[in-house]
Amino acid sequence: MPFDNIPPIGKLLSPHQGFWKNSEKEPISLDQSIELIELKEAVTVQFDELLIPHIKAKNNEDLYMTQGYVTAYHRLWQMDFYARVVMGRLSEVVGIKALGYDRLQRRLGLKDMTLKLHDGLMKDAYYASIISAYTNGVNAYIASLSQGDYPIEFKLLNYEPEKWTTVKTCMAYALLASTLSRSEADIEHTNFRKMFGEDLFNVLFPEPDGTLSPVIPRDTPFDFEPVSKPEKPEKFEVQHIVNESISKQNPLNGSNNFAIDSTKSKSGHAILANEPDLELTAPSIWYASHLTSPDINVMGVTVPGTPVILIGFNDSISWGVTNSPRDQVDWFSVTFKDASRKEYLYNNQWFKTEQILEEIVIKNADNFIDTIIRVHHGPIVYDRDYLSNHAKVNLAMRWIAHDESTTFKALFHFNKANNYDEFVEGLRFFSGPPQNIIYSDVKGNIALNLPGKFPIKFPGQGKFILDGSDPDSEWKEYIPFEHRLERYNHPQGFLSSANQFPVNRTTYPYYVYSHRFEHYRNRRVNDRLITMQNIEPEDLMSLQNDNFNYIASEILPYLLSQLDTLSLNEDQNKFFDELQNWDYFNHPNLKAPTHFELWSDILWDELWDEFDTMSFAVNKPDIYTTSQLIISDSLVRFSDRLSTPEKETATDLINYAFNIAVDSLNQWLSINGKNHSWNEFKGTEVNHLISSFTSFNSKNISIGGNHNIVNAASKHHGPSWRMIVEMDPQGINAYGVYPGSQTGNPGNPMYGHMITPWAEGKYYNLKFGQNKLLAADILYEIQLTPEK
Amino acid sequence: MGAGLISLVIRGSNFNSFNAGFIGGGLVWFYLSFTIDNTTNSILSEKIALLMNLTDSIWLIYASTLIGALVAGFGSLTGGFMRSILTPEKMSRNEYIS
Repeated sequence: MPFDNIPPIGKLLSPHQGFWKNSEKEPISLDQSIELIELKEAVTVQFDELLIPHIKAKNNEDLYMTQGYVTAYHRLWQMDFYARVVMGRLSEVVGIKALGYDRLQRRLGLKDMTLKLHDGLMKDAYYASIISAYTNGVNAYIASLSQGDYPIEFKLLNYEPEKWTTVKTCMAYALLASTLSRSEADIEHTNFRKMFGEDLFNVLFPEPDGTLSPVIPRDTPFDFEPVSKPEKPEKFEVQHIVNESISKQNPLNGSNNFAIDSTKSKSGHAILANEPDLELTAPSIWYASHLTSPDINVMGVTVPGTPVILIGFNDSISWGVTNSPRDQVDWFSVTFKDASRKEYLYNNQWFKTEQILEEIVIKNADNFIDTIIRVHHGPIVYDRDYLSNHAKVNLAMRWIAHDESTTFKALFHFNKANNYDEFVEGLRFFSGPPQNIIYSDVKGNIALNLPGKFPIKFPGQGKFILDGSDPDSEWKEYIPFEHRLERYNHPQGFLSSANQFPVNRTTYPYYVYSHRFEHYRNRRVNDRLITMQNIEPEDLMSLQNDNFNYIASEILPYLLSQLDTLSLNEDQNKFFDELQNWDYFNHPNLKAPTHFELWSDILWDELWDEFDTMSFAVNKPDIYTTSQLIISDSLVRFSDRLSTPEKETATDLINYAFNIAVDSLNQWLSINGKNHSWNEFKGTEVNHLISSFTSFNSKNISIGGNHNIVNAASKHHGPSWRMIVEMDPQGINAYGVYPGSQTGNPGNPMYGHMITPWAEGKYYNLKFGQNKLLAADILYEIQLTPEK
Repeated sequence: MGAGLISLVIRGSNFNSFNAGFIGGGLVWFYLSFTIDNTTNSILSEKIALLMNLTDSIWLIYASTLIGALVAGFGSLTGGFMRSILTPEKMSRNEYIS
């Protein structure tokens, strides 16, 4: 079996207790009449053909309690798994191979963030009641299960569901922050700059100036004086070399969103579109719900384990998010007084550290106790026990997400907001992770906002490792809410974002930095929206599924021009012809995208082969920087291949990479024995969270696109939710789809049923507003009543 | 439990406790697993079979049957034993564990 700790076979194969019990004959196997002791009044849940629960409650506590119950019915194991991910408790159920992972999660402080968020929320009676209700609902479901009813993953991994807690109901924030707002390269930059100097660093890792299709349109004025303009101090950085850095969030996590107003819309109603790009997992990260009570009518997607709708719409407004890359993490070098690590240096004085013992329980092994030192900057992640670098370097993590978050409150406000003013009130609470939040309403307004907690930095602050003993290296103030990036309506008739640089640098008075931004999907979206007129929802669906390869359109002509075409053999000629005749669309059935991907990947590897020889942590220049160097014919400094004695030119390298690409393709063909059309070569997958449960995975999904393409489906990443909402005042018209299913049970006939429609660019008309759920649409109905 | 009951009832034949339990339990597990597999179009059993590197989900039914039989066989030994404790003067040769 493909997992280490084999569950007791007898129990697993028993029809009374084992996997046989997880086979569901019908799409929903809940009792139609359920008694829930803590309910105040009766609640109805109507499941539609997509198994989306439409919950109708008479008060909000009952509403969220029921939502907890049905979400647990569909996704209990996933909720338990996410809670373990955040709390650093995977080793308990998976064994010692998860120890490094759990240690990092604890050092990153995800558990502490969750506890802080929880304690803050529970002080407010309103939020406390929602969180408690949801928790009670989940626990009521767990209590209804006998051993044989546990989800299959519990049985395969041989453990049982734990009681759900109010703390766990708050874990989605840490999960998302860790996935979206932890991206940085301070260590890699410090290493590179120390070894190769600032000039070369600036050539290979330039900062964008925000003129290339920023999130906030370039003509947006910012008529205020900044609260402060800090000056760069003389000395504030340290020059440590660090050999290995922690594992970072996936750079492919990104998204796109756009909204058009009445001037561009055929119907005259605004239309909003959102598509978060995340790792494609089974079960899906998203769980759709429709919540109704006397004062709530909201639909959209949630993260299982959390009551609030994260992306969605109500009868007046809709909203969606894309990640806004921002350097929210800075590393501060810490000097201890001695080996006891009880004191550290700050402002020429010794201050006391905090020592925390984290005990990690490990299945089939002894517990591991990790000592985590905390200073005022934050937890020390890199130290003598973890990525020690021969115990020379101690780095404390100052992460905005460590500050108390109120983002939950923002989302609750969005769920209930009726207009832009109420929406903006909610934005005040949105402390992170930084998102470009798109908005649209039934009055035809559209808006983009980038709320959050952003330190006011001097230029360059935080790009490299900072001196933790020097107060000058620290942040002092935050950008006030009134100075946030915002655009409300625009004469061009649309607004959009796709993880690009947020604003034109010369107009916005605060320093904005991240080491990585999107440069392609934003331009494609804007190019299309500028020309599109009389737009209908179907047109925006096509745009979300757009396969145009912007990178190829910019560099392929140059690459082809450098080829020595006279010396090509037959295979090479075929390879070349496909590329010459290509229209730059990564459609699934074409071969040219495969050729381009192979060639450009190999070229990029060969160009930056020097980086593979470096023994310290370092990043290679990104695709955009590399492409600019290629097109501007500036490759000569880097084109030399280390493995040969000759000094290659850029043209040599381009030809060399081409030949290797053709050979690679032939190798791939001989191994895989099928045609190399793009969908076969790319092989998009949706894998179970425990990927060794191979038969729960979906492989070789036939979909086009790729990273840096609007249809951002790469091998393991892609549009995790596609949503289009037409803001008709007579009734919202909403469409959605995601690559998975509401049910997380592989034994359910509808497991993964939306994957193929999603890949084909299909959407479902969601049962809301104009298309509201009618009796004929109800697949299954349940009634929950308080116990007598 | 079913296996224990079967051996409590059948007596006076060349049918010892273990065999009774073995067959009874096997039958019950076979019937249940076959029915589940049939009515759900083998959705899950095929997936689990793949995880166990079995080429066909029918082997899961056989495996379940065998294990069910073993479990039940041992269970019915208990049944026969209980019986012998409850009615010691009526024990016959055939109820001895063979």
